[in-house]
Amino acid sequence: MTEASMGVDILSEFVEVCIHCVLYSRGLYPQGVFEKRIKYNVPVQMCLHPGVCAYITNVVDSIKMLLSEGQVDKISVVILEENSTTPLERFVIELGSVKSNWTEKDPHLFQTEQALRGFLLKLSVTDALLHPASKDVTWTVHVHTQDSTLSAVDEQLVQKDFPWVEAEEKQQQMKNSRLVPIKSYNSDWLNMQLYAEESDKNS
Amino acid sequence: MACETDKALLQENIEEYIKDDNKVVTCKWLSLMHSIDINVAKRALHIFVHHQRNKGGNDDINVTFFVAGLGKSKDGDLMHKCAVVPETELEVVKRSLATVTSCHIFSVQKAKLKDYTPLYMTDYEVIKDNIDKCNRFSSIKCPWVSLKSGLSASKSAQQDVVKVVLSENKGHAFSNKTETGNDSPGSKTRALAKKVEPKGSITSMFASASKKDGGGNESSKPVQKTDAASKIKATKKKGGVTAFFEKKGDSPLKQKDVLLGKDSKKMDASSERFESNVTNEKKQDPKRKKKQAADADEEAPDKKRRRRIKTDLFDSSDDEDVEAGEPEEPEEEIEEMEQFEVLDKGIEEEHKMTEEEQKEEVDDSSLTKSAVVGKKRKRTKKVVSKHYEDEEGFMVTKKETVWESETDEEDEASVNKQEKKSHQSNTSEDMGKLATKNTKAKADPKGKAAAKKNSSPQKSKQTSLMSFFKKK
Amino acid sequence: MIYSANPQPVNVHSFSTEAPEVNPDLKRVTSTVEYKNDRFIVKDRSFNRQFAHLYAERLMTMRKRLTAAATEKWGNTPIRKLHELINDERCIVIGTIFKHMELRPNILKEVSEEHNLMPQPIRSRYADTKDKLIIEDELQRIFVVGDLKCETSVTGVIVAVLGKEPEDDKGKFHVEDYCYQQLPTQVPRPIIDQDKFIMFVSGFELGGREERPFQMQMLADLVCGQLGDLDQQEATASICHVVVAGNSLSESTQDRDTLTKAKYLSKKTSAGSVEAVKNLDGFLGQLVTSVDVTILPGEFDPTNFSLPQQPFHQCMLPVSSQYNTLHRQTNPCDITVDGLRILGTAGQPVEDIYRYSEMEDRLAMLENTLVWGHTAPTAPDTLACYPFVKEDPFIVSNCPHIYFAGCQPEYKSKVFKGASGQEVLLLTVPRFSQSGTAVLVNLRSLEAQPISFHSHFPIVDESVSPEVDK
Repeated sequence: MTEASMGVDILSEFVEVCIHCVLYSRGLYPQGVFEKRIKYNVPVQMCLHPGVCAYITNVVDSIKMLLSEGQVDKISVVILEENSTTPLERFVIELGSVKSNWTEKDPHLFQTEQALRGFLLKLSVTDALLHPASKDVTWTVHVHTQDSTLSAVDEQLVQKDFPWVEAEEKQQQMKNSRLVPIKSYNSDWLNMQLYAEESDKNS
Repeated sequence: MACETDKALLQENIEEYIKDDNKVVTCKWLSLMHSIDINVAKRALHIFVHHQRNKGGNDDINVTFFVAGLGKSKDGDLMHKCAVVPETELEVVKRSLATVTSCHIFSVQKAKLKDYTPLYMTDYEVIKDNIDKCNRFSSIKCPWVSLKSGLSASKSAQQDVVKVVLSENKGHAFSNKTETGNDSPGSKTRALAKKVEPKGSITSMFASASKKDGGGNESSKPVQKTDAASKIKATKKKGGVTAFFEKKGDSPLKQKDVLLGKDSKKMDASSERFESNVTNEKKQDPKRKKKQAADADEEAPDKKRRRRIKTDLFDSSDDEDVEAGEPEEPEEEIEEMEQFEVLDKGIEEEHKMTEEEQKEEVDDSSLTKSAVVGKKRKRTKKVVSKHYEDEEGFMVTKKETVWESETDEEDEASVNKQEKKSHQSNTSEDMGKLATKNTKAKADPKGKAAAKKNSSPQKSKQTSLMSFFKKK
Repeated sequence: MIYSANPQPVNVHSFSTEAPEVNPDLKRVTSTVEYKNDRFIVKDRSFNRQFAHLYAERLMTMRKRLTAAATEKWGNTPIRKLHELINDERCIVIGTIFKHMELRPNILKEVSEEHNLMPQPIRSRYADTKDKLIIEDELQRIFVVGDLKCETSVTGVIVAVLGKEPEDDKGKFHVEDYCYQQLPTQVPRPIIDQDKFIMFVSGFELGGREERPFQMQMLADLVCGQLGDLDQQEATASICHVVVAGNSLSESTQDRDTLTKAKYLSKKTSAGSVEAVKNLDGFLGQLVTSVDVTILPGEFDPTNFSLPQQPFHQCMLPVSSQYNTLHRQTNPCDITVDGLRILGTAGQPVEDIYRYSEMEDRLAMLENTLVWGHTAPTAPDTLACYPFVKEDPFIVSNCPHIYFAGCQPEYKSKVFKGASGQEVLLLTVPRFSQSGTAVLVNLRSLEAQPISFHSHFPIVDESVSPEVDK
């Protein structure tokens, strides 16, 4: 197990927790389908619906591949209006470069864990900064990466029956969007920023 | 208690936390962050909410309450119920109770909470950072709580304590780093500074900050920080080393003091703990030779600052300058090396200490003699563990493996210490027991020598030990 | 008092009014604590002994007490050993009950299963109507029929039976009447003039699905005086001791997988025992800065499995072990607080009796163990136990004032009155992970009251449930 792949594991795991957290806090699914799990020593909510879980697992698995193959700039959870598929909100995890010498800096991952906990705490109270969650929405995940990175894993993704497609233009564009910073973290091995964007239409 | 300006500032701070930083402010978090009594924090939150509500208009804060009282269980039996509930549920819960015994604000935040998770996370973080003093500001004081002191206790727990300290201070070092983001660290520091100002202690803060190589400068950039931290580390090392040398002379006496202190006066728990940590560190890195003056310089202000619990800035900075150096990487390898060199030193040291103790403990003289005589022998774990089994959880086994390939004076010394401890702490232990132990200890060396010849598990143990150190 | 059936709080809402600031400097009430657990400390770990010694020792010790009880009850009826039995003579026999159970898991049966004989159904309880009782003494055993109830008896109990072995039904002892030991005398209950509480709590089950971190935090905060209005804080200050009665860690922390897997890889699995112990340490670390805490290990805690379980090792609890207020004790545990004797276990004996009898009420089982004079009668038969030779430490040789069993499904309590005026508060301490409930016992009056911790957040009603995006 190399340092790099450990870093990728940690990140992709965090992405997974984040997705669940967004789904929970923005009320995309009824509260009943969530269950408390302990992650990073604190309780987090996890969606139990098998379909949702499978989807998230697939997404996270492919993100993991992308991360290990090359550069990923942003991962965003996009909440779309159900019919018009115009984006209403998106939660963006922006990643700086992941350096590989982190095991020396933080061998027991105490700092990292604390940082990730901080992200989750902030994320869970972000609700207050956004417009009230709207009904009749759906969601998707966008990954901002390079062609070369995608092509490197494309084959594998197709094999796994979970190919990624280029995002539609209109899914990407938000009118009069407002940026809500959530948290950022800079350390020797990881630079990460989390923010939400919401479109004005949502009011 | 606090004067009016303080209160006003506190209100401002709360507003800032909640409105600008979108933080969850629980009463415990507030109490620990501002080092104020928990009840003062509760009142402050109430006043804050009261003012916000009175202002009218857009009421964008959400409040959770703590309610306790006598209620009924599912089976209809009387039971005391405690609950944390959002404001919307407050009346429902209160109505379900026959008698309400408590009702106060638990937290205030902007977000409408769906569950307790954010509350827990908020408290979790602040408790983790203040585990040694998390109840200092609670309303109930427990005067007899103290740290187990005494040589053997601190020694045996040494490895663990150091580890814990490491993890804790990593938390600290880290918190500085994260604050640089859009988490508005500046505002926080500002807020804190503001709070400090009226008390006229800000100057002292700056004084101490400068003394500590910017330890109090929270918003400094990570790069600078590494720099500063390593400097701090150097200072700390100095302190540690000199203290060590000083200790050579009078350490048993010092230790005695601590023991007495435990009984006679109510000592600040955390400062005592801190002391024991320092003791440990002293033992950890006694390699570098430095001047004694540095020691005095190091310890005196620390203690002073401990007393001044009003400003958390100090607390955090002082945790920092005690320990912040450790997680920094470049030094680590040297330290590993040192730890091994220290072993030799440590043994010499222990030897000397043994002699000191010999003078003090006349009735143990036979034992210490055997310690002095028993040189250059290795021992096996087996013998030792058998010896300690009836004592309550000493970690000596682990430690001894460290000294394994050396002479076993350390062993005897620690035995000696253990005896000492049992004298002091466990008064109920009768002398008969002790006597048998002494004879046992005397008999041990032969057995050990024999054991050494026919088994060599030490070699393998040794490597695992090395890795143990490296892990840190 | 706040923690009673009739609380009369005065200062409720004291933090919500503009009342003058009063911050009473509350002091934790003091108490003297003694531990009498020497007999439960296993000194020489030799496991190559048979368990026969333990039974022999138990019979020897208990025989004296049973002889006294039997003589008092039945006068001068002769007491016979089994080999001295004369047909048709009415006599008293003192012996150990052995319950012959068809359904009892049996290694021989399991082996026969492999040879494709009838498979045994997996069950949680093994009692059956076809079970038979046998009485054993040092030399012999005999079937018993009659009054001694099979459903409520378990293996290992020492009993005196009055009856005879009829000429026409040899090999069976017909029981007319039976009695158990006389409960040892109780030291008079000390008079405590103020309200003083002990909190019993068990089954945090950290690291499991059910763990309740927030409720635990509430408990710690309440006990430490962080929560509550002034009156409540004042009442809380009179909690002098907290007893954590077992299973602080969850069963799932014993999962070996977590040991071999690295933490970051154990995706979607609950944290392993390392994290759980760390959390426990953190939790205790808060409590011990404010109150005396006794922690005894339970079935799933990281110590030895067989009774008596040895105390948690201090290395596992590096933070809290530094304080003089943390008392790591054995399970079973014998504590004396201000002269009141408290005896209890983390619940395994009761759990085992539940499995091997047809009783349903945990409190009744607990009561029975007191009547039988033995904390863990089913050890070493069906309950793992250290092979003691010289003594049976589980015999109740001093009548306690409070007798508790941790990790039980629900809270129950009652006062048991002994024949010679003993009064014992029996207590089943519920699992915190299930109920969020702890128990407060007032040492002055021996009244028990459960105290529960909740968080109550309404579930936002979603009228339309969005479809799964797939």
